[in-house]
Order: sequence, then C-alpha cells, then structure tokens
Amino acid sequence: MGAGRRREREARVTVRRENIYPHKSLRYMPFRNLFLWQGLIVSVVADILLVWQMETVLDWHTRALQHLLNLAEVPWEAGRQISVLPNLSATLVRAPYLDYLEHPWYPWSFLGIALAIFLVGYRYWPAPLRPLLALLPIGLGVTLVYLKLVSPNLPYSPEDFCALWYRGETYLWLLLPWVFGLGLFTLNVPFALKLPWLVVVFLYSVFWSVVRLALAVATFYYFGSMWMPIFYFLFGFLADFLYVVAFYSLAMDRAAHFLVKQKEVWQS
Amino acid sequence: MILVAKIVAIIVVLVLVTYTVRHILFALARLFRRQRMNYTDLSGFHLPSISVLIPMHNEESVAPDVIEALLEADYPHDPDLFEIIPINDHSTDRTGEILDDYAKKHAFIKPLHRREGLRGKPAALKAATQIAQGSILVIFDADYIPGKSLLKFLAAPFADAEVGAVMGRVVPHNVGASLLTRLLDLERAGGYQIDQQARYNLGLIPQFGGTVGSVRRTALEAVGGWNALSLTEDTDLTLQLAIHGWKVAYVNRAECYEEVPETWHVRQRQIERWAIGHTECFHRYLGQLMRSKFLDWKTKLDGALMLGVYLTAPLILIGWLACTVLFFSGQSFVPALTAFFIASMCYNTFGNFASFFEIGSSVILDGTHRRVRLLPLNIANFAFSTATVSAALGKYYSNRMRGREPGERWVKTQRYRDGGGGGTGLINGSGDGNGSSEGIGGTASRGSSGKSGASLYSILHLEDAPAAPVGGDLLVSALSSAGRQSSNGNGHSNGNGHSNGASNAPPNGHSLPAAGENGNGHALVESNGPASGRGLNYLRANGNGNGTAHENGHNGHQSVAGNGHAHNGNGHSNGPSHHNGGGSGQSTNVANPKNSDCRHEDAVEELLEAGGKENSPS
Repeated sequence: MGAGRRREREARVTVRRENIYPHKSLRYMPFRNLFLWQGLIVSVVADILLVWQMETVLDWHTRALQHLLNLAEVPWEAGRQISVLPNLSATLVRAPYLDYLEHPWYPWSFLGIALAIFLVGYRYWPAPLRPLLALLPIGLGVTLVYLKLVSPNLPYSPEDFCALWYRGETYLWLLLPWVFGLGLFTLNVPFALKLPWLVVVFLYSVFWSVVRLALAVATFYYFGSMWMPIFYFLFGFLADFLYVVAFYSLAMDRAAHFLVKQKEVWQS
Repeated sequence: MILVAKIVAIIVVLVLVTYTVRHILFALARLFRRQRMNYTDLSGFHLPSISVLIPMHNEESVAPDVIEALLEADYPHDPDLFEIIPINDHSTDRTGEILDDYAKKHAFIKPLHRREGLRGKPAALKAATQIAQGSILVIFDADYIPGKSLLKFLAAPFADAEVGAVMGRVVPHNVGASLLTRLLDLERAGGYQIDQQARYNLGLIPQFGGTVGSVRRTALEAVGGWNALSLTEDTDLTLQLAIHGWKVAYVNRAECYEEVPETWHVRQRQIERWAIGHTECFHRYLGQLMRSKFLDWKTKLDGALMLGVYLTAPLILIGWLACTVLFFSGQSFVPALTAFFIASMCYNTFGNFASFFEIGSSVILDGTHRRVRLLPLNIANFAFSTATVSAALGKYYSNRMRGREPGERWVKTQRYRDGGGGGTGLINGSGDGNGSSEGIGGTASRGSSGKSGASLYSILHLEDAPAAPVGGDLLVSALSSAGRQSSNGNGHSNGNGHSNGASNAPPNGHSLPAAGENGNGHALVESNGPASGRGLNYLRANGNGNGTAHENGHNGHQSVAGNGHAHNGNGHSNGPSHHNGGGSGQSTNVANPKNSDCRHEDAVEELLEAGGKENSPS
C-alpha cells in the first residue's frame, strides 16, 4: 500500500515536472505568506534599527557635511538642534550665504545664463529634456520676482534649509524598507537577493544626501539663496526617487534573471 | 492664499496616493493571484464569423504587411467565416491599388474605399461596420502585425454570451529604434502584462484599445455603434459597453506587434490626441458610469480613475504650484508638502500609465530582465508627458469654454517601417549590388545594375518605369540594393530587409509579384551584394545577402532563393511564403542569418508546390 502510494506520488511528481512551462501571459507566482512576512518583518526591523540608530546616522551625516564644507572652503558653525522625530534630534549647520544687496547683478546673471542654457537646450537637446530644463529658469525667475517684489531675502536661512533637508531625508529613509519590502521581498527569490539591495540603497541614500546638502550649502554661500528652490524642488525628493528607482530596477533585473532559470516557481 | 494652497496640496496628495495604491494592488494581484479564465482553452473551438477591419490612410508602406500576416492566420479562410475589410480612408498614395491587388486574388478581402465624408479611424470603422458580414468585428491598425493564431484567441471569448469586446496584448516590435521606443516598451509591458490583466483578474474594466481587439456586432449596435466624432473611439466603446452591462475580456496571450512612435514629436501628437479624447470621454461618461446598475462600486471607482488618468498631469502642475506658494510662504514644514512630493514622485516619475512597480512586475513575468534597467530614465517620459498632456488639456478646456471645437481632430500616427519612400518610389539601400533581369515571351524588362560604394546610400528612382504591365509584359526591377530579398516569409518575417520586386509592386518591396500576374513572360532576377534593411519583426538586420528570383507569371512558377546574413540580428529569417501571382507557384528561399541575436538562425524554408492561387506558407 505504502509502495503504491509512493509510486503514485512519484508519478505525480513526474507529471508535474513534465508540465508545459506556462506561457508568460498565463503564469503567476505562487504567493507565499513566508515572503510577505519576510517583507513586513524586514521593514519593521529595519525601521526599528533606523530609529534606534538614527541619531548616530544623523550625527555622521552632520560631521560628513562639515567635512565637505571644509573641503569647499565654506565657513560654518554648529547650529541649533532640531527634533526630527519624537525623542530624536539632529544638530544643524549654520553657514552664511551671498548677500545680493552687495552683488545686485548676480541674480540677473544667473537668470540670464539659465535662460541662455534653456534656449540653446530647447533648440538642440532632445524633447523630453526640455520640460526639465525649463524648470531652471522658471525656478530662478520666480525666486527673483519674490526677491524683488516681496522680500530681499527668502524665508529660510541655510540653517533652515538644513532642517528641511534632515526631516525630509529621515522620512525617506524610514520609507525605503517599505518600498523594497513590498516590491522586492514578496517575490519568490532567495533572501540573499533581496536584503543586500535594501542595505545598499540605504547606504547610498545617506551618502548622496550628504553630498547634495553640502553642494546646496556651498552654492548658497558662493551664489546666494536664489538657488534654494532649485535644490529644494529638483535636487530633493526628485533626485531621491531617481536613485530609489534605479536600485529597484537593478534588483528586479537580478530577480528576473534568477526566476527565468527557475521554471518551477511559476504556476498557470 | 496659504490655506487654499494647503487644501490644494492635500487634495493632490490624496488623488495621487489613490492612483499609487491602485497600481500597487494591480501589480500584487497580477503577480500572485490565480489568473482568471481567459478563454484561451476555447481557442480554435469557437469560430464565429469574423470581419477584420483595418483602417488605412496613406499606409502603402505597411498595408501589405498586415494583410500578408492576416493571410497567414490559421482562422478558416472560408468566406462565410472570415473576411478582411481594409479601409482605404482618403488615401492619396498607392494604398488603394495595393488593396485592390489583394482583393483580386482573395475573395474574402473586400476593400472599402472612402473618398468622401469625415476622415479618421472612428468614421472609417463606422462605414466598414455597415458592410461587414461577420458577427464579430476584429480591429487592427495598419501598422500591426498579427500572429498566426491571434484571430482565434480574439474570437474564442465570444463563446460567453456576456462578452461584448475582447482586447489582446500590444507588444512593440521596433523596441531598439530609440530611447523613446525602449521606454514605451516598458510602459506597454506594465500596462498590458500587469495593468490590463489585473483589471481583468479583479473583475474590473479592461480597456478595449481600439486595435488588437474584437467586438461583438450586436453589442456594438446595442450601445449605438462607433462614435465617429470621438478622438478615442476605443475608450468611448469600452465605457459604453461597461455601462450597458457587457463584459470586456482581456486575453493576455493574444499578442500582436505594433510600431510605437520613434520620435518625441510623433509621441507628442499621439498623447495629445489620447489626452483630449480620453478627457472627452471623462466628461461624457462619468455620470453614466456612476449611475450604471450593472457595475459594483469597485468597478465604478476604477472606471472613474481610468477615465481621469490624463487629468493627473495638470493636477501635478497645480500641486506643484501650491507647493511653490507654500515654500515662499515659509510653510514648507507642513507634512503634506513632504507627502505630496513623495506621492507624486512615487507614482508619476515613472510614466502615466504604468507605475514603476507595475513595470518591475511585468519584467518578472515576461522574464525580460535587462530592459528594466532603463526604468529611471522614465523621468524623461514623465516630464514630457506631463507637459504635453497639460498643454493639450489646457487647450481643450480653453476651447470648450469658448464653445469651439474641443481639440484637433483625428491625426494618424506616423509610420516608420521602411517603405522605400512610399509614393515617391524611392528606396534607400546601402552597399554594392548587381541586378539583372530578363524577360522572355513578353516585351519589356528592366534591370538596373547596382551602385557601388558600400557605405553609401543609393537612391533608386523607379518613377521612370512603366506603371503597370500590360498583357504579356513583364517588368521586374532588380534593385541595386541587391540581396534584399523580401519575399514576405510567413507574411511577417523578413530577414534581410526589403527589395522591390517589380515596378508596379508596392515600393516597399513586399512581394506582390504583380509583374507576373498577367504575363506570359519569364523573368530572372539575380542580385547579390551587401545590403541593409529592416525586416518586420524585431528588425534592423544589416548584412549581406544573395538572392535569385525567377518569376513566371502566367505559368505560375515562381522561385526565390536568397542567402541572408543578418549582422545585427533580431530579425526573423526569410521565408517566402507568399507569392500571390496567378497560377501555381513555386518558390524557395534560403536564409542564413548569422551572428548572435538572430531569432531564427539558419532558417531554411522550401516552398511550395501549391497548385492553386497562392502558395501556402511553409
């Protein structure tokens, strides 16, 4: 009896293996609770770890920023402490910025150069770049109008800009595990093909955040606060999601590469 | 002012978050849920009478491809079950002549020539529907290349009496042409493999796309027929059917190749039309959709989101404006501001029709992984689409408020397939070549020796050749771009590009060997030399080719032999399946694509001994 069942099971297995590889239009991936739980647990654990170590991360972020500002020869001093999350604070950096009252032709020069670049780009560059390119003169133009008509200074100092940046980046870091937890960890691929991507994207995010913030503060110092909206709107979350998607696409590339070789993961 | 900006920002965030959640749910449902029955099991068992409608306006470069592909279809060529109605819609090129040539050879091809009345796809479909005999109407655009079994897949779901329309999957074939085509390939993959299939799985409304689709005639008539004034008759019909309780089925297996825009300018015109047409449907049907007694609340919600998808573009701009106001007001600590950017970028950086999550999932299911690395570049597509759609809708609403025509009327999307210059009779070829032809038993023959200079493009004017053979005349032009034997293997796989067979053949060289049609002559065409060209499937094959062709019209003997070397691969190899000359025919083709990526390497096809009107495919 037992032998008969075994033979029957073996026959089933044989049949199963000889099944036609389902056409891509019909196949789907068996959902495994394990992977959903894996994604949820990784996201939760990653966020707990992050919150636990956030002060360390932000502290490193500030020190790296200060170091980069030294390299750029931008004078700075330690700024105020802000609360990024409950019971979680970060030290800001205070830096001066160019006063347009002393250099009144600077804003007009920037706007003129941006317009020239836009016009040249509009003529010669590919069509999809034109709307992105247009944002530069539009952003500078709107800021110039504000500076001339409303107030000679923007409502934010570089220190305030740092506060904005720290808060935004912190939220993003906490969101990252959920983006990958949902998009990548639910897939039927080995854990080793998932976790490294999350770690790498987080490390890249922190590193790239420091570089961009240092670039922003240095730009404000040398070229004035007119560039603040540009950094806020174009080099903020927009730039963040570009690399998030870039890493996501690489992760999916590798996952698909693995799955193509694993026919048994599909059902139809 | 600040309060208004805050409220606007929050509303925009909510809308975009809704779309984001919708896309994530679709991707998860497609990846992990059991796929809903899509009637593919019935394919070939349920064979209703069908009429294939192909609107064409100046489509001489692509018309033979779609018709040849349909001739290859395994749907019974019984005139009671199958008819092809190519619609010559105010064409000014040779489209009409090409269609008439086919009609002479196949009783089930019934061209409709429209020279009066409203031009455009919806109007053409409306006119063709009036003469169509089939109970099911299958619609293709002229640049599409349906596969052999596609018609059966599109017909099978109509075994279910509740199904009013069926939609197949659209796959770009000119993917490698430009960055845009690659991005559109990603977008199509996400849109069809994930979005459409998920909607079908979840019992929502898959969108009937107006091509690679079929509609039940009685359903069409029940909802009032085609809206000839619509810019997006497909969306119009989808909504009409859904509102009146008909089901729209999606058959993911029914894949059909299309030519996507290769330049941003053409893409701009295309999405402008879509945006205006879609938004017209939004205004026309939103109320009816919400009141429909046949739909549940989930379907209504999804239908409303589907209808409003183009409105997200100006909405993003409005949200951006609100954020600018908040920024300069010193209010940017408002969490909504952060949320807005996160949500808007999450959803919209990666295209209007498929979010990055859907595209990533489609890559997993298709198993085509490398292309997904281009995903971040979709920001270009996003910026371009947002600007274009916003401008188009701005114009639309402006015209609407002033009581003018809401937008531009139907504009055909440009074709890119190498058609040899269309009506001008020009053919671009590169490389050396020799050609000669002889006419026996007839009067004239024409052969041109090839131009030298491997890297040069040679332009061959065919205008000085007589337009059509008379009586026993047989004219064969041997192009200098020799070796470019395109004998329409299987109707849709040409390995080495194109050649022109005869002076009165279509300039793209798809072998309509009309030269031999009426003649008693005998022609020999020999040619060899390096050539470059684009085949029909996955195309851009460059390489050397040698070919000989013998044609004997009236006696019905044809043979074509060719050696093709495809350097850049991707091309399907040759198979001269279709020689439509009178009498019995015989043709042979040998294709030896080499180098890596070729799909059908070393294809050797020998045809044919077909004793009837046409040779059957190998």
